[in-house]
Amino acid sequence: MRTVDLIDLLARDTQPRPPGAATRKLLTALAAGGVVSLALVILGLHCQPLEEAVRQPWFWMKAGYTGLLTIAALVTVRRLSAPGTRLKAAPLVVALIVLVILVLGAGQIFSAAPARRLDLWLGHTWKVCPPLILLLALPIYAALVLALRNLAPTRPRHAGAAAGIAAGALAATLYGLHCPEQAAAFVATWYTLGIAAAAAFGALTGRWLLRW
Amino acid sequence: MPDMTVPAEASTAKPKVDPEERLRALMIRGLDGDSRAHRQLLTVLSGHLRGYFGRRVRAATHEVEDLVQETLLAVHLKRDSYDRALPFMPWAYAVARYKLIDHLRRSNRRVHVPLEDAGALFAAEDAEQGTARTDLDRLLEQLPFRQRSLLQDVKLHGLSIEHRSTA
Repeated sequence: MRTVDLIDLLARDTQPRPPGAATRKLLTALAAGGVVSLALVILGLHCQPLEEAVRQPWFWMKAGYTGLLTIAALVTVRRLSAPGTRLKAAPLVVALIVLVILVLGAGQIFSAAPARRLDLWLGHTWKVCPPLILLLALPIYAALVLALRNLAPTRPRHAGAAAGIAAGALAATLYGLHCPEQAAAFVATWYTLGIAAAAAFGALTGRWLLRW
Repeated sequence: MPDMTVPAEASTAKPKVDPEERLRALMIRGLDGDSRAHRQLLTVLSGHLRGYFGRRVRAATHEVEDLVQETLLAVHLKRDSYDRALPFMPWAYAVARYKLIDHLRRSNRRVHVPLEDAGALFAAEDAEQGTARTDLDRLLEQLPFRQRSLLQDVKLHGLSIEHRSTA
Protein backbone atom coordinates (compact mmCIF):
# COMPACT_ATOMS: atom_id res chain seq x y z
CA MET A 1 0.00 0.00 0.00
CA ARG A 2 1.29 3.43 -0.83
CA THR A 3 1.77 5.77 2.06
CA VAL A 4 -0.39 8.46 0.46
CA ASP A 5 -3.24 5.94 0.28
CA LEU A 6 -2.78 4.98 3.90
CA ILE A 7 -2.83 8.64 4.89
CA ASP A 8 -5.95 9.10 2.81
CA LEU A 9 -7.68 6.26 4.63
CA LEU A 10 -6.57 7.40 8.06
CA ALA A 11 -7.70 10.95 7.35
CA ARG A 12 -11.16 9.67 6.47
CA ASP A 13 -11.29 8.01 9.89
CA THR A 14 -10.93 11.32 11.71
CA GLN A 15 -13.41 11.08 14.53
CA PRO A 16 -13.35 13.97 17.01
CA ARG A 17 -11.59 12.94 20.18
CA PRO A 18 -12.63 14.79 23.37
CA PRO A 19 -9.83 16.37 25.42
CA GLY A 20 -8.82 14.37 28.47
CA ALA A 21 -9.82 11.10 26.81
CA ALA A 22 -6.81 9.30 28.27
CA THR A 23 -7.51 10.29 31.87
CA ARG A 24 -11.16 9.43 31.42
CA LYS A 25 -10.28 5.96 30.09
CA LEU A 26 -8.06 5.29 33.09
CA LEU A 27 -10.62 6.54 35.61
CA THR A 28 -13.34 4.45 33.97
CA ALA A 29 -11.10 1.41 34.17
CA LEU A 30 -10.47 2.06 37.85
CA ALA A 31 -14.20 2.41 38.47
CA ALA A 32 -15.17 -0.68 36.49
CA GLY A 33 -12.51 -2.87 38.07
CA GLY A 34 -13.27 -1.31 41.44
CA VAL A 35 -16.93 -2.28 41.20
CA VAL A 36 -15.96 -5.91 40.58
CA SER A 37 -13.55 -5.93 43.52
CA LEU A 38 -16.10 -4.16 45.72
CA ALA A 39 -18.61 -6.89 44.90
CA LEU A 40 -16.02 -9.50 45.86
CA VAL A 41 -15.42 -7.74 49.18
CA ILE A 42 -19.10 -7.35 50.03
CA LEU A 43 -20.21 -10.78 48.89
CA GLY A 44 -17.13 -12.87 49.51
CA LEU A 45 -15.39 -11.33 52.48
CA HIS A 46 -18.23 -9.37 54.07
CA CYS A 47 -17.79 -5.89 55.47
CA GLN A 48 -17.02 -5.20 59.08
CA PRO A 49 -19.60 -3.16 61.04
CA LEU A 50 -19.06 0.02 59.04
CA GLU A 51 -21.14 2.44 61.10
CA GLU A 52 -18.72 1.79 63.94
CA ALA A 53 -15.61 1.65 61.83
CA VAL A 54 -16.06 4.98 60.02
CA ARG A 55 -15.98 6.74 63.40
CA GLN A 56 -12.55 5.39 64.18
CA PRO A 57 -9.35 7.24 63.28
CA TRP A 58 -7.60 4.02 62.30
CA PHE A 59 -10.18 3.41 59.57
CA TRP A 60 -9.25 6.74 57.97
CA MET A 61 -5.55 6.17 58.51
CA LYS A 62 -5.85 3.06 56.38
CA ALA A 63 -8.18 4.61 53.80
CA GLY A 64 -6.01 7.71 53.64
CA TYR A 65 -2.85 5.75 52.99
CA THR A 66 -4.28 3.51 50.29
CA GLY A 67 -6.49 6.22 48.79
CA LEU A 68 -3.64 8.69 48.34
CA LEU A 69 -1.47 5.92 46.96
CA THR A 70 -4.15 5.10 44.37
CA ILE A 71 -4.25 8.70 43.18
CA ALA A 72 -0.48 9.12 43.04
CA ALA A 73 -0.08 5.83 41.18
CA LEU A 74 -2.81 6.71 38.70
CA VAL A 75 -1.13 10.03 37.89
CA THR A 76 2.05 8.06 37.25
CA VAL A 77 0.18 5.65 34.98
CA ARG A 78 -1.33 8.56 33.03
CA ARG A 79 2.11 10.06 32.43
CA LEU A 80 3.55 6.70 31.45
CA SER A 81 0.71 6.16 28.97
CA ALA A 82 1.75 9.14 26.85
CA PRO A 83 4.90 8.96 24.72
CA GLY A 84 7.46 11.59 25.55
CA THR A 85 5.84 12.73 28.82
CA ARG A 86 8.12 13.46 31.73
CA LEU A 87 7.22 11.64 34.94
CA LYS A 88 8.49 14.50 37.10
CA ALA A 89 7.57 14.08 40.78
CA ALA A 90 4.84 11.46 40.43
CA PRO A 91 6.90 8.35 41.35
CA LEU A 92 8.50 10.31 44.18
CA VAL A 93 5.09 11.09 45.62
CA VAL A 94 4.26 7.38 45.53
CA ALA A 95 7.48 6.59 47.37
CA LEU A 96 6.85 9.38 49.86
CA ILE A 97 3.38 8.10 50.76
CA VAL A 98 4.80 4.64 51.42
CA LEU A 99 7.60 6.19 53.46
CA VAL A 100 5.12 8.07 55.65
CA ILE A 101 3.18 4.92 56.55
CA LEU A 102 6.42 3.06 57.21
CA VAL A 103 7.49 5.80 59.59
CA LEU A 104 4.10 5.75 61.31
CA GLY A 105 4.26 1.98 61.60
CA ALA A 106 7.79 1.97 62.94
CA GLY A 107 6.89 4.72 65.40
CA GLN A 108 3.98 2.69 66.67
CA ILE A 109 6.12 -0.39 67.19
CA PHE A 110 8.87 1.43 69.01
CA SER A 111 6.51 3.33 71.28
CA ALA A 112 4.65 0.16 72.27
CA ALA A 113 5.56 -2.10 75.15
CA PRO A 114 7.95 -4.84 73.93
CA ALA A 115 5.53 -7.62 74.89
CA ARG A 116 2.86 -6.18 72.62
CA ARG A 117 5.03 -5.54 69.60
CA LEU A 118 4.67 -8.83 67.81
CA ASP A 119 0.88 -8.91 68.21
CA LEU A 120 0.68 -5.32 67.02
CA TRP A 121 2.68 -6.10 63.95
CA LEU A 122 1.14 -9.44 62.96
CA GLY A 123 -2.44 -8.79 64.00
CA HIS A 124 -4.81 -11.68 63.38
CA THR A 125 -4.79 -11.78 59.60
CA TRP A 126 -1.24 -11.13 58.42
CA LYS A 127 -1.14 -14.36 56.42
CA VAL A 128 -4.26 -13.73 54.36
CA CYS A 129 -4.02 -9.97 53.94
CA PRO A 130 -1.41 -9.67 51.15
CA PRO A 131 -2.83 -12.52 49.02
CA LEU A 132 -6.34 -11.12 49.34
CA ILE A 133 -5.21 -7.65 48.31
CA LEU A 134 -3.41 -9.15 45.30
CA LEU A 135 -6.52 -11.10 44.35
CA LEU A 136 -8.75 -8.07 44.65
CA ALA A 137 -6.26 -6.08 42.57
CA LEU A 138 -6.56 -8.40 39.57
CA PRO A 139 -9.92 -7.19 38.17
CA ILE A 140 -8.77 -3.57 38.54
CA TYR A 141 -5.43 -4.33 36.90
CA ALA A 142 -7.18 -6.12 34.04
CA ALA A 143 -9.37 -3.08 33.44
CA LEU A 144 -6.34 -0.76 33.51
CA VAL A 145 -4.55 -2.98 31.00
CA LEU A 146 -7.52 -2.73 28.64
CA ALA A 147 -7.41 1.05 28.94
CA LEU A 148 -3.64 1.17 28.45
CA ARG A 149 -3.87 -0.93 25.32
CA ASN A 150 -5.79 1.97 23.79
CA LEU A 151 -3.05 4.35 24.88
CA ALA A 152 0.68 4.32 24.18
CA PRO A 153 3.00 3.38 27.04
CA THR A 154 6.54 3.54 25.68
CA ARG A 155 7.87 1.79 28.79
CA PRO A 156 5.53 -1.19 29.15
CA ARG A 157 7.21 -2.64 32.22
CA HIS A 158 7.07 0.63 34.14
CA ALA A 159 3.49 1.22 33.06
CA GLY A 160 2.57 -2.28 34.18
CA ALA A 161 4.21 -1.75 37.56
CA ALA A 162 2.47 1.59 38.07
CA ALA A 163 -0.86 0.08 37.04
CA GLY A 164 -0.19 -2.71 39.54
CA ILE A 165 0.40 -0.19 42.31
CA ALA A 166 -2.79 1.70 41.43
CA ALA A 167 -4.78 -1.53 41.27
CA GLY A 168 -3.26 -2.83 44.52
CA ALA A 169 -3.84 0.44 46.33
CA LEU A 170 -7.49 0.65 45.27
CA ALA A 171 -7.95 -3.03 46.14
CA ALA A 172 -6.43 -2.36 49.56
CA THR A 173 -8.83 0.55 50.05
CA LEU A 174 -11.80 -1.69 49.31
CA TYR A 175 -10.28 -4.45 51.45
CA GLY A 176 -10.30 -1.94 54.29
CA LEU A 177 -14.10 -2.18 54.31
CA HIS A 178 -13.74 -5.76 55.51
CA CYS A 179 -10.46 -5.75 57.40
CA PRO A 180 -10.70 -5.15 61.18
CA GLU A 181 -6.97 -4.58 61.74
CA GLN A 182 -6.17 -1.23 63.31
CA ALA A 183 -2.44 -0.92 63.70
CA ALA A 184 -0.42 1.35 61.45
CA ALA A 185 2.43 -1.15 61.75
CA PHE A 186 0.19 -3.85 60.34
CA VAL A 187 -0.97 -1.69 57.47
CA ALA A 188 2.52 -0.47 56.69
CA THR A 189 3.75 -4.03 56.34
CA TRP A 190 0.98 -6.28 55.03
CA TYR A 191 -1.06 -3.83 52.98
CA THR A 192 2.13 -2.56 51.39
CA LEU A 193 3.24 -6.13 50.72
CA GLY A 194 -0.02 -6.87 48.92
CA ILE A 195 0.32 -3.70 46.85
CA ALA A 196 3.95 -4.50 46.08
CA ALA A 197 2.90 -7.98 44.91
CA ALA A 198 0.41 -6.36 42.55
CA ALA A 199 3.16 -4.03 41.30
CA ALA A 200 5.46 -6.97 40.63
CA PHE A 201 2.67 -8.76 38.80
CA GLY A 202 2.13 -5.64 36.71
CA ALA A 203 5.81 -5.26 35.90
CA LEU A 204 6.08 -8.89 34.79
CA THR A 205 2.93 -9.00 32.69
CA GLY A 206 3.05 -5.41 31.44
CA ARG A 207 5.99 -6.21 29.27
CA TRP A 208 3.81 -8.43 27.10
CA LEU A 209 0.33 -7.07 27.62
CA LEU A 210 1.15 -3.42 27.00
CA ARG A 211 3.18 -3.66 23.82
CA TRP A 212 1.80 -1.90 20.73
CA MET B 1 -7.67 54.23 9.63
CA PRO B 2 -4.59 51.93 9.61
CA ASP B 3 -3.52 50.52 6.29
CA MET B 4 -4.84 46.94 6.36
CA THR B 5 -3.27 45.90 3.09
CA VAL B 6 0.39 46.00 4.11
CA PRO B 7 1.84 42.70 2.92
CA ALA B 8 3.19 40.46 5.65
CA GLU B 9 6.71 40.47 4.22
CA ALA B 10 6.88 44.21 4.59
CA SER B 11 6.19 44.02 8.31
CA THR B 12 9.30 43.83 10.41
CA ALA B 13 7.37 41.98 13.10
CA LYS B 14 6.41 38.96 10.97
CA PRO B 15 6.81 35.88 13.17
CA LYS B 16 8.42 32.76 11.73
CA VAL B 17 6.03 29.84 11.86
CA ASP B 18 7.39 27.61 14.55
CA PRO B 19 7.20 23.99 13.32
CA GLU B 20 6.16 22.81 16.77
CA GLU B 21 3.28 25.29 16.86
CA ARG B 22 2.25 24.41 13.33
CA LEU B 23 2.23 20.67 13.90
CA ARG B 24 0.58 21.02 17.29
CA ALA B 25 -2.19 23.15 15.77
CA LEU B 26 -2.73 20.54 13.06
CA MET B 27 -2.82 17.76 15.65
CA ILE B 28 -5.37 19.57 17.80
CA ARG B 29 -7.57 20.41 14.82
CA GLY B 30 -7.35 16.78 13.78
CA LEU B 31 -8.38 15.73 17.29
CA ASP B 32 -11.38 18.00 16.96
CA GLY B 33 -12.38 16.15 13.80
CA ASP B 34 -10.82 18.25 11.02
CA SER B 35 -9.82 15.53 8.55
CA ARG B 36 -7.92 17.93 6.28
CA ALA B 37 -5.72 19.07 9.14
CA HIS B 38 -5.17 15.46 10.15
CA ARG B 39 -4.24 14.50 6.59
CA GLN B 40 -1.81 17.39 6.39
CA LEU B 41 -0.26 16.40 9.71
CA LEU B 42 0.25 12.81 8.60
CA THR B 43 1.70 13.94 5.28
CA VAL B 44 4.20 16.29 6.90
CA LEU B 45 5.06 13.64 9.47
CA SER B 46 5.64 11.01 6.80
CA GLY B 47 8.38 13.14 5.29
CA HIS B 48 10.09 13.61 8.61
CA LEU B 49 9.71 9.95 9.51
CA ARG B 50 11.22 8.84 6.22
CA GLY B 51 14.26 10.98 6.89
CA TYR B 52 14.52 9.84 10.49
CA PHE B 53 14.26 6.13 9.75
CA GLY B 54 16.26 6.34 6.55
CA ARG B 55 19.28 7.56 8.47
CA ARG B 56 18.99 4.89 11.16
CA VAL B 57 17.83 1.74 9.47
CA ARG B 58 20.21 0.03 7.10
CA ALA B 59 17.48 -1.48 5.00
CA ALA B 60 15.75 -1.41 1.67
CA THR B 61 13.56 1.56 0.89
CA HIS B 62 10.41 -0.47 1.23
CA GLU B 63 11.36 -1.52 4.74
CA VAL B 64 11.84 2.10 5.69
CA GLU B 65 8.47 2.83 4.14
CA ASP B 66 6.90 -0.01 6.17
CA LEU B 67 8.26 1.65 9.27
CA VAL B 68 6.91 5.01 8.15
CA GLN B 69 3.47 3.50 7.61
CA GLU B 70 3.52 1.62 10.91
CA THR B 71 4.41 4.82 12.70
CA LEU B 72 1.73 6.84 10.92
CA LEU B 73 -0.76 4.17 11.91
CA ALA B 74 0.41 4.40 15.51
CA VAL B 75 0.19 8.20 15.46
CA HIS B 76 -3.38 7.84 14.25
CA LEU B 77 -4.51 5.02 16.53
CA LYS B 78 -2.83 6.31 19.68
CA ARG B 79 -3.73 9.96 19.40
CA ASP B 80 -5.86 9.74 22.54
CA SER B 81 -2.60 9.45 24.45
CA TYR B 82 -1.50 12.94 23.39
CA ASP B 83 -2.07 15.63 26.01
CA ARG B 84 -3.08 18.84 24.21
CA ALA B 85 -1.47 21.02 26.87
CA LEU B 86 1.94 19.51 26.15
CA PRO B 87 4.25 19.97 23.13
CA PHE B 88 3.55 17.79 20.11
CA MET B 89 6.99 17.05 18.76
CA PRO B 90 8.30 15.16 21.80
CA TRP B 91 5.20 12.97 21.60
CA ALA B 92 5.65 12.26 17.90
CA TYR B 93 9.36 11.64 18.34
CA ALA B 94 8.73 9.19 21.19
CA VAL B 95 6.25 7.27 19.04
CA ALA B 96 8.74 7.10 16.16
CA ARG B 97 11.55 6.02 18.43
CA TYR B 98 9.39 3.31 20.02
CA LYS B 99 8.57 1.94 16.59
CA LEU B 100 12.20 2.10 15.51
CA ILE B 101 13.36 0.13 18.54
CA ASP B 102 10.57 -2.36 18.00
CA HIS B 103 11.60 -2.76 14.38
CA LEU B 104 15.27 -3.25 15.19
CA ARG B 105 14.40 -5.93 17.71
CA ARG B 106 12.17 -7.74 15.25
CA SER B 107 14.31 -7.48 12.16
CA ASN B 108 17.21 -9.25 13.77
CA ARG B 109 15.26 -12.44 13.56
CA ARG B 110 13.68 -11.88 10.18
CA VAL B 111 15.22 -13.17 6.95
CA HIS B 112 15.13 -10.24 4.57
CA VAL B 113 14.68 -10.79 0.82
CA PRO B 114 15.16 -7.48 -0.99
CA LEU B 115 12.69 -7.51 -3.88
CA GLU B 116 13.69 -4.10 -5.13
CA ASP B 117 16.96 -5.41 -6.50
CA ALA B 118 15.12 -7.35 -9.20
CA GLY B 119 12.68 -4.58 -9.93
CA ALA B 120 15.13 -1.68 -9.67
CA LEU B 121 15.49 -1.43 -13.42
CA PHE B 122 11.77 -1.18 -13.89
CA ALA B 123 9.32 1.37 -12.59
CA ALA B 124 10.04 2.06 -8.94
CA GLU B 125 6.31 2.39 -8.38
CA ASP B 126 5.68 -1.26 -9.22
CA ALA B 127 8.31 -2.58 -6.87
CA GLU B 128 6.88 -0.50 -4.09
CA GLN B 129 3.36 -1.80 -4.71
CA GLY B 130 4.52 -5.40 -4.72
CA THR B 131 6.52 -5.39 -1.55
CA ALA B 132 3.97 -3.31 0.32
CA ARG B 133 1.36 -6.01 -0.20
CA THR B 134 3.34 -8.73 1.57
CA ASP B 135 3.52 -6.58 4.66
CA LEU B 136 -0.07 -5.42 4.49
CA ASP B 137 -1.27 -8.34 6.61
CA ARG B 138 1.10 -7.48 9.39
CA LEU B 139 0.07 -3.84 9.19
CA LEU B 140 -3.60 -4.81 9.25
CA GLU B 141 -3.13 -6.97 12.33
CA GLN B 142 -2.51 -3.88 14.37
CA LEU B 143 -5.82 -2.28 13.50
CA PRO B 144 -8.96 -2.79 15.50
CA PHE B 145 -11.52 -4.87 13.66
CA ARG B 146 -13.63 -2.03 12.32
CA GLN B 147 -10.75 -0.19 10.72
CA ARG B 148 -9.15 -3.37 9.49
CA SER B 149 -12.25 -4.51 7.65
CA LEU B 150 -12.63 -1.04 6.20
CA LEU B 151 -9.10 -1.13 4.84
CA GLN B 152 -9.54 -4.65 3.49
CA ASP B 153 -12.78 -3.84 1.75
CA VAL B 154 -11.48 -0.66 0.20
CA LYS B 155 -8.01 -1.62 -0.86
CA LEU B 156 -8.21 -5.30 -1.51
CA HIS B 157 -11.74 -5.63 -2.75
CA GLY B 158 -11.93 -2.27 -4.45
CA LEU B 159 -15.03 -0.94 -2.75
CA SER B 160 -15.24 2.81 -2.56
CA ILE B 161 -15.25 4.41 0.84
CA GLU B 162 -18.81 5.66 0.40
CA HIS B 163 -20.13 2.24 -0.57
CA ARG B 164 -18.37 0.57 2.37
CA SER B 165 -19.78 3.06 4.87
CA THR B 166 -23.32 2.29 3.85
CA ALA B 167 -22.77 -1.48 3.61
